Amino acid sequence: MMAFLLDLARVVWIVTLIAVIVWAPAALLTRRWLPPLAAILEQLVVTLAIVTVAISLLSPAHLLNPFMLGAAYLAWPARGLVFMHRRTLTADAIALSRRLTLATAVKLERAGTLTTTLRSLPPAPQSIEAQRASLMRAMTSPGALVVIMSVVVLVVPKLAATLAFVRLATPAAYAELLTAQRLFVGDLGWHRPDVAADITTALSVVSSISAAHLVRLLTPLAPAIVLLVMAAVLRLMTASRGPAVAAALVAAVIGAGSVPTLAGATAALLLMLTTFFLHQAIRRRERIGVAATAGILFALTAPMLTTAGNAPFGVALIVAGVVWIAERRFQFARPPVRTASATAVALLALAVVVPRSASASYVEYDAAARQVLRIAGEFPKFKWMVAAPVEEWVLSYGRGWHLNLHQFVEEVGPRTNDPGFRLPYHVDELFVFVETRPFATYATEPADVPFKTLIDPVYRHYRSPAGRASLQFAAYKISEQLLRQTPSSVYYEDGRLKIYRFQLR
Amino acid sequence: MSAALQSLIGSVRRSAPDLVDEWEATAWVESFGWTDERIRHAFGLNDTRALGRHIFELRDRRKTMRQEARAFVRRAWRMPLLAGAYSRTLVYALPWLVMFAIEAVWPDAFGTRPEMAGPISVAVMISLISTGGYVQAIARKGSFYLGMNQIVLARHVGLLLCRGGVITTMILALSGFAAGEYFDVFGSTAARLVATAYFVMLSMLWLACAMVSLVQPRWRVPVIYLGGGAVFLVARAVFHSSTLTAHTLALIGSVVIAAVVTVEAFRGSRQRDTRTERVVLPRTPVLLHSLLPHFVYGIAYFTFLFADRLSAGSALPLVSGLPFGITPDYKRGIDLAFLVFLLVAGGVECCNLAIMRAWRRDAKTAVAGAAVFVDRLNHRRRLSLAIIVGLFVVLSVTAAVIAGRVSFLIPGSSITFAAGCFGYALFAIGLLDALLLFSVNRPGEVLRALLPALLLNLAGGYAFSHIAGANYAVAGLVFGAALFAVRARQGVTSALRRPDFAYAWA
Repeated sequence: MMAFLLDLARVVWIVTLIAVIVWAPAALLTRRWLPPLAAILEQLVVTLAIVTVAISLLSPAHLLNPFMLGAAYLAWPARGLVFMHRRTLTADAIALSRRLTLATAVKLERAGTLTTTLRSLPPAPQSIEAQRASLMRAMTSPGALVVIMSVVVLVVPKLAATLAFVRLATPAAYAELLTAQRLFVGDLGWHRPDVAADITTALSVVSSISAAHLVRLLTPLAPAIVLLVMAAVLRLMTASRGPAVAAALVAAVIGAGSVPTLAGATAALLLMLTTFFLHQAIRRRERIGVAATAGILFALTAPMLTTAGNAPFGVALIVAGVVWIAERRFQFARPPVRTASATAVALLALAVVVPRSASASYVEYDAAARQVLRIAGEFPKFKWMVAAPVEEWVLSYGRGWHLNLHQFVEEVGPRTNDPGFRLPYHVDELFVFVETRPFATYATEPADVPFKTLIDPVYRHYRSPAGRASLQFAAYKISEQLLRQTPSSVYYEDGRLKIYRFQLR
Repeated sequence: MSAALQSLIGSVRRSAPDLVDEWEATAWVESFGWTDERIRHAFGLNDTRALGRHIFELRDRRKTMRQEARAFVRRAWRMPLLAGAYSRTLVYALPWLVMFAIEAVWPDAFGTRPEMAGPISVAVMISLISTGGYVQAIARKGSFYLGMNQIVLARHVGLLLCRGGVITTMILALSGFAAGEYFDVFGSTAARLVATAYFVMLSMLWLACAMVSLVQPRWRVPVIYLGGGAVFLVARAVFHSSTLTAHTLALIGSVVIAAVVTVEAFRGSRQRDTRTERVVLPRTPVLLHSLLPHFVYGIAYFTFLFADRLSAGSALPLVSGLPFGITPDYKRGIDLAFLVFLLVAGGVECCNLAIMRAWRRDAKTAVAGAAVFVDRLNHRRRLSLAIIVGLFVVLSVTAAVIAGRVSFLIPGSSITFAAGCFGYALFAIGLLDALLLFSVNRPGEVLRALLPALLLNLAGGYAFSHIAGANYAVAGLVFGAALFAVRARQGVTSALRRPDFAYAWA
């Protein structure tokens, strides 16, 4: 229960951060609580571009930290300010700070206490109240309600399968996590920007949530963001609510059971944004730079567009096109939208009631992932090593050392009978992960495996049920023998997974 | 040159060894009974003014300057005030020196757990930076009121600033701890707690020292350090405590002694204060307005001094497993260079004091706007710069020789030491100009020199240390100090161009 609540808090924090990062500059620049949709989308593109450039430059230079990332993020609006007030900026800043300091001092001197000072502040202006009311009206309109419900339908089943479970759903997610971890550590060097990994890394730095949790929680959240952007783009491009509502509805209902990937969702998101800003640039000669930026980012992510998780959005866009053509052909406007909205709400309610589960392809026990993160949090950095399957390398990256379990068996196995044998590792603690009930990667083992796959050590040792079982058995035998020879203990055991802890120093 | 002319020039020089301008020389010539007619006839010059100009231009400038320099140095050494100024800085250099000596004799004396060494180093540096503004403000206002013999007012204003310092410290400690928890700084809550506790205690200590150092005699600050040192030694040698425990006990002891000594220093201030009838504190906005540049300078000064260490400490390789730590070779090199700087900084203070006293004396006897006056000022400044550079060279060579003999400097730290000495020497040169600017009441010029230099130091040191390696953080110090020296020189040159105006302004 605690883990579930903690994950829920993480989700709330991630969503809040994303909302603030995208909304705050748009609100500041437009001076409105509820900035126009186009301004929010523009800020989304700008933020993605800043994040991609900043991470691509800061990570290889080992300069990635919250301050540098914050500076890169703030540099964009600051650039605007400097450009606008090129000469007078310093003088203005000094004058303003002096005025503020003196005013505060006078205020404190006269008012005496903080309470009286706060009371003496002017009330909020009327315009803020009006904008707040306008925001509430927008959020409670039938179209917006349908979109919100669609988001709920799309996200809830995926999140439900993820909350309180630490392991990642697919091998692809581990690959994404590895890239993010390497970016975080600065090990990737100068490379072609990976927008999805850059976003994950940046969010990890800012939110202080480890990349492992971020990849796990962002993966189900990403389609929701794509859906929202898709609805906004359709609403703005068609100047009608019908296509947006229909697309949201279709994407939610079809996509609820699909397994998305971060890279795929990012590609879909950038496609929507590029299309919208190209439309703006061609039709209105506006935001040409933003269109170019979105285009470049999309080009970087385009190869991932055709992932299976994006199929529902493709169908949704086709439906939106049909609805839009129908609207123009039959000239109907508001009444059908309301009817559609009511139907949609009913359908969505039904979709929520029907239990769904994301069809994941896990590659390890949840306990294994959880225990690696526990070790990483409990022991000093790089003073420990885990001997475990390859997935634990990704999870422990940048925090501790990892030894492939098959390497451990090959290195240590033949020498355990030597008198006075000592484990040859220069760390304080060694943790050996042994599955007493080997994890089954496949529900049914594939009958025909290509030779290329067969010779892959990952397949041979970890994916193949027979290979995994024999490796785990060998590791178990070695660990039990070492348990008697070396200062050691059993760190964790749950009947399926046993973790041996060997104290080497 | 005729004998008559030589005799006349000699008479003029004897009568006025420090000629202000050609008009004064002309006046002296006329006073000896020489008219235009006689001069035309005897020397072939047009009039008395031409002869006056000739005499003024002929004066043996180099000889005069050398004599002046000797007199300047002679007068400077006689001044007991200079000793006081030097001792003020020496008070901070001495503990540093003692620590070096102890480390040389007892290498593990200050060795602590690596995961705790980083947080403590950061706490020391951040506490000096965060209270630096208050320390400067207390010194500035305190000296002002003490100079007017208003001890009670000095105490009240000092305590007001101390209260501000304590509130700021608490806010920073709480927000720093919260930020540390959020970003998982230093790796564990225990380390963060230690860092926060050290930060709070050290800040209190610096504030108390600032208050104490206002009042004569100046034995109280060394007493605080000696007391802390004694507690540390007793804890380590007698009770065999760990370094962290001994450090903590010493710090607590120092804070307690500082509090007691502060109370003692201002005890009986009412009786000693002969001027204040009723305590009327200056208005807060006025106080803020007058102290803001000094406050900013205090913060920027300490940030500048520690920027390279902060950069180097944050650039540790990830596999070290430590969140913050300065490598031993960098620490040894830069610490030794810093010790040299601390010893020279006293000299910088003395030079500034000597220049200002000479300026004031000259202003009473000579015309402040005259060319010779400007020349003298510039010459004294150049002489002071030469003294500072000479002192730096002598002390750094001495330090290097001694450190080499006791194997304190290893090859890696030697380079850091050399670069650090160069950077700190440039900073000391800039510091003299900055102090001159403060003395002529131009703190804005100092900030205009220091803030960009600080930015360069931070950005350069951070980038170099993270891209090229932690030891390259010293490059930021060198570049920043060079910029500071150049910009401070520009400020002083501008001020000395119109010394009469600068003097009146001050």
